[in-house]
Amino acid sequence: MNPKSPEKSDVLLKFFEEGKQFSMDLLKENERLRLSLASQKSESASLKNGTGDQLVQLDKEKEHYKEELEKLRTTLEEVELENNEIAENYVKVEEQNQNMASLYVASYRLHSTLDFKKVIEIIKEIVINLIGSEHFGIFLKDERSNALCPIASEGIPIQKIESIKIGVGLSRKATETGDSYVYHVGKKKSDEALACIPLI
Amino acid sequence: MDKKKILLVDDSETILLFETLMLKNDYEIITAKNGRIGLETAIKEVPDLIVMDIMMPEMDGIEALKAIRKAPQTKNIPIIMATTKNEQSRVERCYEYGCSDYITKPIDKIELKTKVGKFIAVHS
Repeated sequence: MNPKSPEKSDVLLKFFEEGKQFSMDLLKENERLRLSLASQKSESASLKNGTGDQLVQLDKEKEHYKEELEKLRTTLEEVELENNEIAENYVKVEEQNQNMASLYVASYRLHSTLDFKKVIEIIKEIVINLIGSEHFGIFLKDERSNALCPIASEGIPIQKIESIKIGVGLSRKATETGDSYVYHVGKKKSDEALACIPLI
Repeated sequence: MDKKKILLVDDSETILLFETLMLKNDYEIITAKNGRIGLETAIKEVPDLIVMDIMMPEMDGIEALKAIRKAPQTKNIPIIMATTKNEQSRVERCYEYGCSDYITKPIDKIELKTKVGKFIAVHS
């Protein structure tokens, strides 16, 4: 076989050209991959930076909301306290309102007649219905004997009530000062009480 | 809207005046001084609710309650009995004869308004 034969040289030429083309393709692919790697590296770095910023931002927001929550809790506590105070005041006002209504009714009834017997009946009615006392006596001051004489009663027969010498016993304070005297039998205010009320 | 009508029955003018004072802003008030007049007024006026004392002259609260429950016009009207602490034993009889509830004297404004309001709302 002749080495310089045209067929062989064509084959060799074709072989080298294909080799050259293959090398070119490899170089191109290498370049493409290098660019792709560089791009991915850059993207990854950017993502890393971005996530970090977002985390910092989220931390800030978290702190902000924590502060807001704490403020709201404090406000809620203050509002609850205020609410309780208002409720307590409401009860007090209602109590005062009821006392005023009772006072108005008692005053209105007492001024509705000048008849002595009727006045005594009205006093009994007021004590029974507005104060709720079930056992009591009404006494009139007798200037001559300087004593309080029973003129009406409820829950106790009047015959069993004796006159009281002024300045003696429970009525002493009330007659001396003109102020109401109340003695609570029990420890609580709602327990039974003994009262001596001057009406003049 | 028309005010609901409440009949107050008590022989004590003090109580009638007090209850009227407590309720007149929200309700139309009519009064009667004993059980007999209370019964007649209830049949004539057909109120939305009755507040009635137990111890009264002529006809007491329990007799009036029985009669009100028998009358067809008034048998469904809510009735709140007003009692003193000494009359607690009578409250059971009141329930037997169909009272709706009771309040104790001296009357507490809030208790009275709350119970009246509750029965008026249910009855409406």
